[in-house]
Amino acid sequence: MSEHGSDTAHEHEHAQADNDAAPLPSSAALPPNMHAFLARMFPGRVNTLPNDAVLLLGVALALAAVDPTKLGSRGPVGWLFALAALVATIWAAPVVSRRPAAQSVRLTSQFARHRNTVFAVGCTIVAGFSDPPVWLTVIDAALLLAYLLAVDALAAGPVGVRQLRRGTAPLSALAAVAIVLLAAQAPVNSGAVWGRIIAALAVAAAATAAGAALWIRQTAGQSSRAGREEASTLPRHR
Amino acid sequence: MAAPGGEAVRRALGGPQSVDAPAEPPQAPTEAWRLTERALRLSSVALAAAAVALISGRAWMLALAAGPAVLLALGAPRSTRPTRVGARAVVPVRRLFEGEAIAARVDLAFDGLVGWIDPGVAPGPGVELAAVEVSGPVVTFSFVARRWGRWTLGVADIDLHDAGGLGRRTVRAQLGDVDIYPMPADSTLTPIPTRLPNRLGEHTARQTGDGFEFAGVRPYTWGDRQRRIHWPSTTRRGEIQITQFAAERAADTVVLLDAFGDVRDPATGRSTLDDSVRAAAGIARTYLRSHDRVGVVSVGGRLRWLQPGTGGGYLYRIVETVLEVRRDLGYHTPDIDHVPTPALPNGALVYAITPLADDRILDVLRDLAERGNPVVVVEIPTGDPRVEPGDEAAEFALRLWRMDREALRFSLVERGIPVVAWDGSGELDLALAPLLRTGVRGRAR
Repeated sequence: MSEHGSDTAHEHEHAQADNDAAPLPSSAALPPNMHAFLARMFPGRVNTLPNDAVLLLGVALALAAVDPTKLGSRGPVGWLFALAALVATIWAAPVVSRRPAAQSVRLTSQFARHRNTVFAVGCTIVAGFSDPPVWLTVIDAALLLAYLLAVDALAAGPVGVRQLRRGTAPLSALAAVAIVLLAAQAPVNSGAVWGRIIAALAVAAAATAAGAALWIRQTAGQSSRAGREEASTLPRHR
Repeated sequence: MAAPGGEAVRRALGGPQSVDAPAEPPQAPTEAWRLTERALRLSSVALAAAAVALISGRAWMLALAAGPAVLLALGAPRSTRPTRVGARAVVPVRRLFEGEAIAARVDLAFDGLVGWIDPGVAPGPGVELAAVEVSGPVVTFSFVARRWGRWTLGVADIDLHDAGGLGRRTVRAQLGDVDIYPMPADSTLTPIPTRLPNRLGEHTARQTGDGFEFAGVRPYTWGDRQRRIHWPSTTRRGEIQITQFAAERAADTVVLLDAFGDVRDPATGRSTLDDSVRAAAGIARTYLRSHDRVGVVSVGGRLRWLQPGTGGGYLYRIVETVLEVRRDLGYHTPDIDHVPTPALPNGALVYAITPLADDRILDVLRDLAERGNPVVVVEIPTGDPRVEPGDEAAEFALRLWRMDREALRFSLVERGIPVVAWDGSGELDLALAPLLRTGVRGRAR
């Protein structure tokens, strides 16, 4: 067992990962110049600003999900529902940055631990059963993606921060969202039942193809790495 | 990279820590890769959006699934995920005093790439996590020893996240045991009994001898040295007078530790057993510095003893004898006659350090007094019981309780056993100073 890979590229990548492999404060998700600017503007609150921003993002997402364009037509029940969603958002949207150690198996404890996930899924479901205008669907998709990226940056450690700083993943995800939204607006809906079955099969086929590609890439990589390790003369133990 | 103390410590602990009631160590982690919170979040949102899209027939919902799906695909594990991981804990110093820092290093060994090392720890009792530092594949936990005792340092569960942040594997390292010695109470005074054993030492005895302290004059006898003639007395009395000096002897001291119970002060939360052992260590250290012989007897569920000895290193033997005394709490009353004679030498000064909260210690003190040993009771106050304001019955009960305590102390003093109190804070000298006025008397056998 060796701590470092056997080839130079591997070692370099490993060292780079190690430098980032420590827990970071929430403000570390910000670029240095922005952090300095915020520290000047809000001294004393700069470390909590990212969390506050995620909370605001969550509130905006929840409001967009309940479709504010139709709140007036839904009467008191609609307003009550929106208010309940807002309260739930204030509890569930802030980033849970605790270490994922199982404190309790009780449902309430699990619910509290995964409340960011529950919040995002809840917003998705609520948005899915409303019929928003096109501009609101764009906002819904953008806000959901922004919320997921922000939570990743604050709770998923250096991986989330790196993902946000490099920009490849957010841009790719944004491009995928845009393509699907454009495709969804194409006038191909005939209203037939077969349409959904075909769509389900298409989604399943896409997921299977993606999974198979990833699996092949992983197994191929593992076998090639095993071959390199056998051929390597480096000590395998530290 | 050094992680900031507070945030990293809170994360590693998974919440606030308590030295008195530490968290139970979590169950042993599985040796398999599991989904991270991030993977769970992204996959849940993608699946929910896809399901809602298919159920409701709204194609735009697939756009909500597309974003998380792309993030998942980009973070999917490649060939870099470690297949073999291991951890080895190194604690360079396992014996230390209260208040000192303990560094525990965990060396991780793994093949492949790790995107994030997320350390967690369940500290044992008596220690407090002060800092966590991750530097490459080495995680360093800094603890502070808070309470004396033989404790387990804790268990470290370190999460290794893969490069994409979608899988994690936990590796566990046992940090082992540490011996935390009590910080001896500050003390410099060494009260002595009226009779000291016939052994050369640093204490001025009442007997005459070859010391430096002036003890008196006496008439000249054949063989006295000329240089010891006391000329003022000689000229005054008209016959030769010889100067007498006090003997300098060493004392035998035995510290008797009351381990019958551990009472917590309702107001300050201080533990009487903690303070008792600190006082015992302080007394032992002071007498050992005076080159006296010091022994220890611990009475509680199990009788522990160490015969008096001397030397700087003997303090550690004394402390190690009582280090596990916290586990001895029980209902058995030891018979002091069963203490071997070497542990309680004849005429040894006995310091009984006790909160006077258990009647069985009174039997032990009575036995000691009957053996003829000079005994001093160092009382560790338990603090007054808490009384609700306005509760008259409780206030009367508190008065009765205080009077009962006073009567107990009075009965000990009447029996020839001085009682001094030390509340665990400040110097022990203030408590022991009254004993310097006269030597501590024991009953003649």
